[in-house]
Amino acid sequence: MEPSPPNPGTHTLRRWRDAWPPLAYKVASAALAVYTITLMVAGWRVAARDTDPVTPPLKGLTWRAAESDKINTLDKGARVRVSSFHAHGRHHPVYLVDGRRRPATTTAKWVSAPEDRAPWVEVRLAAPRQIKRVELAHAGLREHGSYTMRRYTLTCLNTSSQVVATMAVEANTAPVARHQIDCPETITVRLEFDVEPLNTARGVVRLYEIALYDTDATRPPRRRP
Amino acid sequence: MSDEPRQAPQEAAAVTRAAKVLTALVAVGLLARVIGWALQGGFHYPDEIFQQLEPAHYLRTGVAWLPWEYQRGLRCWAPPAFYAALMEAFSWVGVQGHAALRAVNLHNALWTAAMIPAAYRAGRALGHGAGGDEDGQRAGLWTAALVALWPTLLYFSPHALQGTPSMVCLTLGYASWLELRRADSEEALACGFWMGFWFGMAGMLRFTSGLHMLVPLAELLLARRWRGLAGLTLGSLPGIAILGIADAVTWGKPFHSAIEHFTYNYIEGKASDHGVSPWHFYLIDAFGLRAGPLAPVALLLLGLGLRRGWPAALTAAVPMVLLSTVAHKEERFLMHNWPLWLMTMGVGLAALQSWWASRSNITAQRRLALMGALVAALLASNAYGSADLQWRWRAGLFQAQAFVGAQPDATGLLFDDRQHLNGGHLALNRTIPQLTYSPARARDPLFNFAALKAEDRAITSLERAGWRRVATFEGFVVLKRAPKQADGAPQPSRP
Repeated sequence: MEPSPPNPGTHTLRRWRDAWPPLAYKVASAALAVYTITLMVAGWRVAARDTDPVTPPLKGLTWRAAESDKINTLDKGARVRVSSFHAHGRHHPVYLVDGRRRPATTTAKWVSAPEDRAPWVEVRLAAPRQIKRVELAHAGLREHGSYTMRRYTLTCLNTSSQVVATMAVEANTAPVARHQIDCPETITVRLEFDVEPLNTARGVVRLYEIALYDTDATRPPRRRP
Repeated sequence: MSDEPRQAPQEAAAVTRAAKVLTALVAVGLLARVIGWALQGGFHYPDEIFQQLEPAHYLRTGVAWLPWEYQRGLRCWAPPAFYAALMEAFSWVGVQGHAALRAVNLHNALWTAAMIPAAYRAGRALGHGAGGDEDGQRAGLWTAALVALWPTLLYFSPHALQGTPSMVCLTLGYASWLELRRADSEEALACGFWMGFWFGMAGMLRFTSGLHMLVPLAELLLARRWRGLAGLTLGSLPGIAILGIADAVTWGKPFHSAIEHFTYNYIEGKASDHGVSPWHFYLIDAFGLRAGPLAPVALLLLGLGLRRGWPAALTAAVPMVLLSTVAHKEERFLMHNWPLWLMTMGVGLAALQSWWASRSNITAQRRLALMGALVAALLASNAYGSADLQWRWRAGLFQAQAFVGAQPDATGLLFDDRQHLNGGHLALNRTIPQLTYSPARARDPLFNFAALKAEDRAITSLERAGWRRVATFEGFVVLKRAPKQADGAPQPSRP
């Protein structure tokens, strides 16, 4: 082995700094500082934000929901906002207002995220309406009855976000829960659920549909021609 | 000492000249990366979407489809958190959805240019002391040139694969390691610190990059570079802390993702569930075929560079051999090897140049031009070998998703193939469901758009059912459901 001259490494790098114009270092350092600060501010904003997924406003929609007496379907301009949704299972909140109570698959339901221990959902109407009846299609409609949520609170809000009516449900077992409630001039219906410990049947919310009606009589479903 | 005043101006001029060449190489490398980014679309592998960018989109918006790795906890949330911050910053200037995905890839591509000066430092430290290139400038510059323009590296640059930023960190770490090997005791601590810092970051980003650290760590231990090791230990703490804290906060246990990754792949042996390849895959496919028709010349240069560049070559060879014993193989797992092979080849080029200078009487300029032609031929050969990599895999579907996401009446999308073979909710950028196409789902009126391969027979049956083509993107057709009522009866035409 031939003897090596002394270390070229960092000594030379230091000399390199002198070889480049000082302005280049200042510009590069400033750019790096701006990059770092921007990322820190952006990261803080992401961390501080409540990410409550909301379905988009729709324009020019051509399809119509099958049961036209519901006042909160997508085609009538309803939107859904949820505290979370189960990102592993593709259980999107929009299924709550697609007008289908018994979809073809069990995928087509809203499921809250496992880490969400206070799940809620809000249905916002296109315009204030009188609501007399709320029907919830729980998991028990298509799956095991133990998945049906037992305890939840139903609240109607007006355009000023004031509560116009509220109802606490303590021991529901019906797969399709029908709640008579008098909600005048309501723009938003909010449901807050009491989930049970994770890895139990009601550790997350499973809900197929939220149907709002402006009549208090339960009509028989329309038959296909 | 008496020579110093006379030599200093010459040395300073050489350094200035090398600095200018390296600056030019960085500029050319940046341009090449932008071109490489522009030529690419879609993905190299679904993991870069669903294990990096889709979780980042989830952190920002709460909307995503997350794969099983994020249920079991095989992945650390720190890299998606970084990408979430990056995408948030992009959103301030209106860059969202598919455009944000492309912007992140460009961002990563540009950062890989940091490997060019790192390659110079590494090549210089390796080539230092060679006859005719005493200060290692030639070896450094040849290495930098190869890293700036090597097509396989340009291919892997514009990606959000875990391996891409990990490769950048490793290369920066190698530069510090190779400088540490020649550092005096005063500098050893600083070199070791930066080596540890970049290795720590690389390990946090991709756990298996630890295999690429075995030789450097062993060399430090065997050579008893205690100050360097002390610096390395200190420097590695930030990367280790990020992993430990992020896992403790998100998975409830420090280093949970690393433990689960190890358990899944090596104790349960489930990596093989994702496909197996022959033992020689990394040697033949990932190196030989990729180097192209001039692979023998590349091997010859590797051989020429071995005398001085063996630490880099050995650092690449060890993970190559170890990973060849694992049945499941993917080329991206060894993208980290290319900077190391190129360091060895750069030293080989410098050795060839010096040998040639001592045995021929052609001018230095002419010799340099011929060396440049040799490098250009190697790059062309590698470009030919890299042509069969997937440069635009399912790019049309990504564009189709972005198109559907921008439609004001879109309520659901059915797409070609499985859930993980597209741009995710990030590319769609609209809070509506998107699922794999099936005839049953096509009957659900909620799904009023479909994006299918142009040759898919389902297109004919959809068109027969009243769907119509509204756009085409690189082999993918977007269809829209015709106005109908939910019960299937055609909707009356409006006056």
